[in-house]
Amino acid sequence: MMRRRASLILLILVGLVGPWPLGLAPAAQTEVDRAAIVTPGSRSNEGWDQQGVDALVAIGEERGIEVDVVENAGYDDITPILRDLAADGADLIICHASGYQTVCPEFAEREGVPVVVTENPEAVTEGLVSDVETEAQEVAYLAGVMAALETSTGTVAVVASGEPPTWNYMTAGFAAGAKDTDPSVEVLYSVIGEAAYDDAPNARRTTETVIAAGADVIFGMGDGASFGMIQAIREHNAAVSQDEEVRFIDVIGDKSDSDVADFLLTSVLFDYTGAYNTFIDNLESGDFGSIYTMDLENEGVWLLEPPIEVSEETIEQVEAAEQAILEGEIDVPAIAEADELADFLEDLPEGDA
Amino acid sequence: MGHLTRDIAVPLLAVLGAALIGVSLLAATGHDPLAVGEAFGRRVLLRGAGIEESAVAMGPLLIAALAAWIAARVGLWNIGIDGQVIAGAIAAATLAPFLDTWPRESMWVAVTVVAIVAGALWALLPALLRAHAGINEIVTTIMMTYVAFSLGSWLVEGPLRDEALVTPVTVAIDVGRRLPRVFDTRIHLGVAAAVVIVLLTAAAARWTSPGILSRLVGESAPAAHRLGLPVERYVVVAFLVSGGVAALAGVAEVLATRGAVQGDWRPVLTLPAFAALFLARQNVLALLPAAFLLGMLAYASTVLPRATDLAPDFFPMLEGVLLILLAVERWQRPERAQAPAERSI
Amino acid sequence: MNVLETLLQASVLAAVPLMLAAVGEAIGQRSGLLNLGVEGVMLAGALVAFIAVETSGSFLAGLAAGALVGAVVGLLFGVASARMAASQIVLGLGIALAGQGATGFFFRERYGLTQPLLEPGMSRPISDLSEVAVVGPALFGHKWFVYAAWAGVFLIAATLRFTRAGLLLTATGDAPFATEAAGVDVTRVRVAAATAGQALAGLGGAALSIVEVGFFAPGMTVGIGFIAIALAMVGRQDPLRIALLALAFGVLRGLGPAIQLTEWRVRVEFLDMIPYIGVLVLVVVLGRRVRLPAALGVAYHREARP
Repeated sequence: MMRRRASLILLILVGLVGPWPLGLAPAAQTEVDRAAIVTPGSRSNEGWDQQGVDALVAIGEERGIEVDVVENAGYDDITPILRDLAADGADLIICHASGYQTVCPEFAEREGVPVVVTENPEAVTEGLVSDVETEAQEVAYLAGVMAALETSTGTVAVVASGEPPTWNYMTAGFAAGAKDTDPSVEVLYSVIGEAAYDDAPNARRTTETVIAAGADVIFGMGDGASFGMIQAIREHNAAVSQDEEVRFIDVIGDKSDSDVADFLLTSVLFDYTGAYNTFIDNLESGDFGSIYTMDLENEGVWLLEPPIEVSEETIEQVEAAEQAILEGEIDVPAIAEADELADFLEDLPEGDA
Repeated sequence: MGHLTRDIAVPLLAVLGAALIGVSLLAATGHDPLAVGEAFGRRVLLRGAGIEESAVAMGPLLIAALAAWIAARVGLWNIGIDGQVIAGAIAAATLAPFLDTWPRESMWVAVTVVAIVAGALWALLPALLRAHAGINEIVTTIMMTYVAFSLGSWLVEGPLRDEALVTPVTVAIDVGRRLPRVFDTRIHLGVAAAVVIVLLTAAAARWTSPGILSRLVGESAPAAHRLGLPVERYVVVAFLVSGGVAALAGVAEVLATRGAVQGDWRPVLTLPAFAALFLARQNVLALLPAAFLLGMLAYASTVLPRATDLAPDFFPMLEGVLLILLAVERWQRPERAQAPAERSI
Repeated sequence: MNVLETLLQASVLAAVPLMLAAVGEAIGQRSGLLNLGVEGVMLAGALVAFIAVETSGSFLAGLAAGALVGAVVGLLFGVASARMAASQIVLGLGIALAGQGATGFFFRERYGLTQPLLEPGMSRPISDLSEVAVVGPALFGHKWFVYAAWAGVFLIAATLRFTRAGLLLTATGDAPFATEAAGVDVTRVRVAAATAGQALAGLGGAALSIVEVGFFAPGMTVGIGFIAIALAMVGRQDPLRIALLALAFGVLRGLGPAIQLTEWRVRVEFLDMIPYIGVLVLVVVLGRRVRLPAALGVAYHREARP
């Protein structure tokens, strides 16, 4: 009798103490059967947020992992959400915004739950924090090559919803690609507003302005605000003859089966599947805590085949540029910071338009 | 109905009414109200983390509601709380890194004092325009908030930015130098301080002469003027104090929650602050349970959407419904002009 | 079109939702009602109008639906504040919050994870004239609703100034007791003003979603409703003055994209601030002349005559 009670107490003690050492022993191998993702915006914006969510959901189905999605989490402190996810047994939490780069590592440190952060290589910690980087400038460079070849006005434009690093990398890459292909091309750059991911009316005005300034290829980065750009172009195209139509280059999500397909020149697409699969593998093999860089080479970033008709010559030149980048013959600038980007754009050779 | 019964019955009925409307909406849109209710009970009420996080969420709400209360005491509407929060947070985040070598307690005090001044300064223009030119403070405070958002973004993007990180965020305070947590919870000292400040305000309103007289200013400025009270000075000072108090929510963001100000951070405290203020029927002590309830709603809006497949907007909508119900109940007396103060303390 | 022409044209278009909402708010203010819920009403109008166009294909149906939902909210606001003497400010803040939440909630309920876009379709009746340099597109290149909105504003201005109804409205806001003594039902005037005024705000929301951008997104008003309240006050409840202010506001907002195309390196955050600082400067300059009806925000009790 006595012994049985003692073992019962022992069992309870182990039960109470058990989870802690497990949680705090990060380097251990973890069977991942539940993973979560937190995004700042809506999972239906066909952009940044949706791309991350869709990738994890697809992986979940493929590998039999239960997936939790928290969307519209905004930029407030998301620790309560992280705790809730952890309480439900998440083995891995993906913090899908560069704005979560300080909250998530602090949470991982405190609670012992592995997290993935965005654009914060400094935070990488063995067993606790991995970082995903997107080197999208290379593919944006290819988009720039295509834009320079396809413009008939000699003016192309970049319209961005704000100046986060992901956007800045792509802006610089696009401008470099366009200028390397044809130095006489004018590259316009316009920012809608600080954190204006959802400011559709302003996105529309900004796009109308660059169209008026002569741009006929627009490289648009804006998640929710992208729809404002798209509507500006649609309305413009409805009013002009076919050879005056403006074409759009999109980022992150694939819109080629939507209303946009009529004038979608190409897209710089992100695919998180490779990154997330790697992180899950790492957790299961016990070597979590690394940087995964999505780029042209590992197909984390890739260029959409043009949904509209594009000349053979353009396709060949873009493919040649792709080869050159992969072989290291072209070095695409990687610029994260807004002021640096402004300097870079200012130093580009003058266009003719 | 006696005052006390009424003060308890009305908010309860309003909460019940809002809940009822919420349930009908859920049923009408094909959600299972029982499942949502069950998730609320299990995740918010019964989980330790739920209560704890609701208390954490209560902190800034309580501070913002107190700021609204102080302005309302003299008959003013501080609709610019969010801007004053930003002003406080930016001031705190600017100063804190320079005090790296100070003992952390002195750093907290210095940062808090400077932030309060910044918040008060952000309320200064609306206060002066109201007191000396009779210009309605509602418009000016709203405009000041938009300016604060843009100015704050620029500062975080530019001069205050932590160069080591790619995203715009100010230099963060080390976890070890932030406000300590109460026991081993996520509730930090700032939340406890907010509660103490509310209690002190209640005492000051009841037992100090400016506290007592301010109520007269709020209820009838002309009468206060006839009695020889410096009404304009009361108005300006109360509004500055309101802005200074609001800034404390920004201080908590920097000294406790995140240790820094992030470029895309937009506090949304003004509307919930007024929900708390009227739920409390403008009684300063009742702000405590009111802010806690709204803290629970705020927490619910972060965790329930996932558990119940509900758009997060559902919960702010309920808050709005609650405000509408409270407004309908709250009859104005004609002599109270624009004074929101009806009953305090 | 060149950049300047586009800037002007886009500003005129951008001014329309703001102008309608601000004029609507001004009608309410003249009668003595202050509604802080314009932002919520605009969002409701924007969503309902979008759904109407998306299902019926008719812009007219969308505009009517937007105005209707605004009128319903206005009626409820008017009855609650004028007849039941509810606190206008609290009610308005509640409407703002509930409107933001409800539109986000119902949009998601209806469209799930998709973002439908409307076809560009509304006709531009006099765009042949827009060849005129500089001001051509801004004056002649618009969709018909832009002209309808301006005509409406002129009509409202004339009504307020020259008709008995307009004078009664102003009298109700300035001196409710004297007006009542003259045999006018103050409560009814106020309810009617709230209904008409918020119908205009709902129409403004509709203009934003179906005329200006062609889709609905939660929170797409980004504060226009609050700016409308400010313009109604700064414009001293005069529709023409408000329309000009809304136009100026539109130009200031449109300047951002244009300035970025110049050589100047101005941070976009500074450009964002300009319109708000503009309103503040205007308030300071106008000073005491920012006139408000004497009884604004004050509930009217017949038996409590002073």
